Amino acid sequence: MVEFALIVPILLALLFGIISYGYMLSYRQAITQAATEGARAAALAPQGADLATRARSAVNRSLEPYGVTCTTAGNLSRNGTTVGTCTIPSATAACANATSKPCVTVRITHNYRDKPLIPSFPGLGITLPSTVTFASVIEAN
Amino acid sequence: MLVVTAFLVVTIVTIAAFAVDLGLQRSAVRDMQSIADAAAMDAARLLPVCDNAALTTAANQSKQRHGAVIGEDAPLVAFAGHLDASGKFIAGSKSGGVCDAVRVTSATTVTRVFATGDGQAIRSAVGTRGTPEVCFSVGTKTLTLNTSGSALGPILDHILKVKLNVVGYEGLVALKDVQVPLLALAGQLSVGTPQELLNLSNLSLGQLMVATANAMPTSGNAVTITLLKTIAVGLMHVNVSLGKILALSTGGGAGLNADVNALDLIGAAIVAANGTNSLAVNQLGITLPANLVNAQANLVVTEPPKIACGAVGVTASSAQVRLDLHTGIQADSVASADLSLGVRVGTGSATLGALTCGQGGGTDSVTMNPVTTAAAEVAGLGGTGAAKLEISLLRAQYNTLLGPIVGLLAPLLGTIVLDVGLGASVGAGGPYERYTAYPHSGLPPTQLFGGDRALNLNVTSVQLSPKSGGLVGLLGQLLNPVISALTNGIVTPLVNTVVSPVLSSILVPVLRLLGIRLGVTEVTMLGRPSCKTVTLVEPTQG
Repeated sequence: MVEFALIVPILLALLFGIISYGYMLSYRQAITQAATEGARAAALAPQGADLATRARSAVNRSLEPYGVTCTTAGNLSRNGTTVGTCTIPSATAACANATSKPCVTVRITHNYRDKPLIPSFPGLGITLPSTVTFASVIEAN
Repeated sequence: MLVVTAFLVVTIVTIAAFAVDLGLQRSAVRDMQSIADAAAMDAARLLPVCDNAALTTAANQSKQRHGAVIGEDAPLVAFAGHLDASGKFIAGSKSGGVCDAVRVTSATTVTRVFATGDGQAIRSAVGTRGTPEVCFSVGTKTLTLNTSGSALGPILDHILKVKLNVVGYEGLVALKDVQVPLLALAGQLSVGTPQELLNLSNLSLGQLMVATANAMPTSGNAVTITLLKTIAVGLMHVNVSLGKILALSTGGGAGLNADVNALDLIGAAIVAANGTNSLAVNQLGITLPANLVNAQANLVVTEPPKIACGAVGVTASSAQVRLDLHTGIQADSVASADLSLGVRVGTGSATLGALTCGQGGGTDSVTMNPVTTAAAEVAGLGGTGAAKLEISLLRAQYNTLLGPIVGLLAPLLGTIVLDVGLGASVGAGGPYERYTAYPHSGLPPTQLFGGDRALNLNVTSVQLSPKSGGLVGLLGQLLNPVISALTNGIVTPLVNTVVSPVLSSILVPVLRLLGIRLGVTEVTMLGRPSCKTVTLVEPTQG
């Protein structure tokens, strides 16, 4: 009985760890998806179209299940709190390693350790990565 | 208890191991898909080359632009190939040495935290060139339109002011230089596919104007945008069906990658919003000929013009209209003439036959095939029955024509009234096919197909009207030569020299308002082809 009592906190920590780490990994996939969709929407926009609006709506579509939105100010916001940044271009820029071509870059960064989507087990927040981030760069029309 | 605890520990640690290792691997897979997608799209811009090395280089350049990904990632591998009829990716060129698809494979290795060994994540994506698309119209007047002598202006102005009761058309003319990306328009109307756009129910003309204003490039168009939004306020209750004025190709590519001229779109929508309500011609800024009595000339647009946007096979058409004319005509040769007819002018149409994007800096080109030109036919007033001309003859005229014997009977004859049946036709020209090369910048000039044709009326039948007085009814039935003499001597010259020109002098300017010329189809490209677009495809497995 005593041994069970001793081991329970560790087991609970593990259990919470599984949940919060698993959720973070799932969220990481959503971030990747969102950045890619955003960049793709902007890259395939016809000339003259509003890149930023198109990209932002694609990003927000992907992040919607997590209650996270990318604001026009470039902040990643959850329930009104800024939890990170999202960089969405309003125009194409020269590609980093092929300057003759236009590129769009969508970068999403969530300060996950400080602003986790679900609360961490006390003291175990350190196991989460400080940021969850992904950038997608696609050549534009 | 010890057993339970041990069991719990083993279970939870196992679950944790799965959660972390599988979770990491799934994230790595997602990263790889993302990298492969981006690289496949970037590499697809090099197509139709079949150079695997060049494509691999382009794909890896694309990958380098991305940030860090999970795991130890390997360089990308790209293969040029093509999609077969079933949509399967086949490495290597198709016949003609052309590769129209590229497959990029992205791989990474994640080290397992709990289990031993590494986990591999491999994903691939296939990119192709998007189908080139372009917008064009048949017979609308953007090119001939100018602020001083607008051709389309009066009709739109009339519909807006009189029929729809809002501010007039002045100023909308500025729309002629504005191209609106259809995709942006669809975005403004919150639809994602061409089909949804065409099937939009409850779309009002006002909403379409606001969406067009919002979809315009903002720089340089501030005044027009404000004006459109101002006019739109009064038009929120007027429904318009986009499917009636816009033809989009729906198969294959995105279908919305083209630009459309804002004036053509809004102009066609305004005409469509008027429905089949008739418009009085004298209110459209057209001067009726002086020899008409109590003229009623009405224009009915039975089909609004249709702008086409899309890939090869999409068809644009001009408006289909009917001019209803009921008027008396003053002429020296007769006491009175009463004309009532409806001229139906059929649609001219053009189908996009081919759209070729220039490779390596070459010029883009389009082929229209086939083009039919607008033809006309004459029917009765309102488009039903037969066209009619009722002529009351002057006694002096038929006395001369019919000779002394009838002349002697003149005092016994009453008024001679003839019912004349009218026919007319303008043969359709074509079909025509023409190739147009795009200049390096801007748009090619409007293409004219066919040649101007006049609408010439002809006499199909002449008979005495029951309205004729005295003995003349009896006389006419007994003596066919009398009718023949009247036809040749009075009726035919009247139709040829007076009635036909009167009709033409009304019909031609009315048709011009709508951008229609008899026997001619004007094909105007409304934007440059979208040639550079790429798209991801989901190849059939196997």
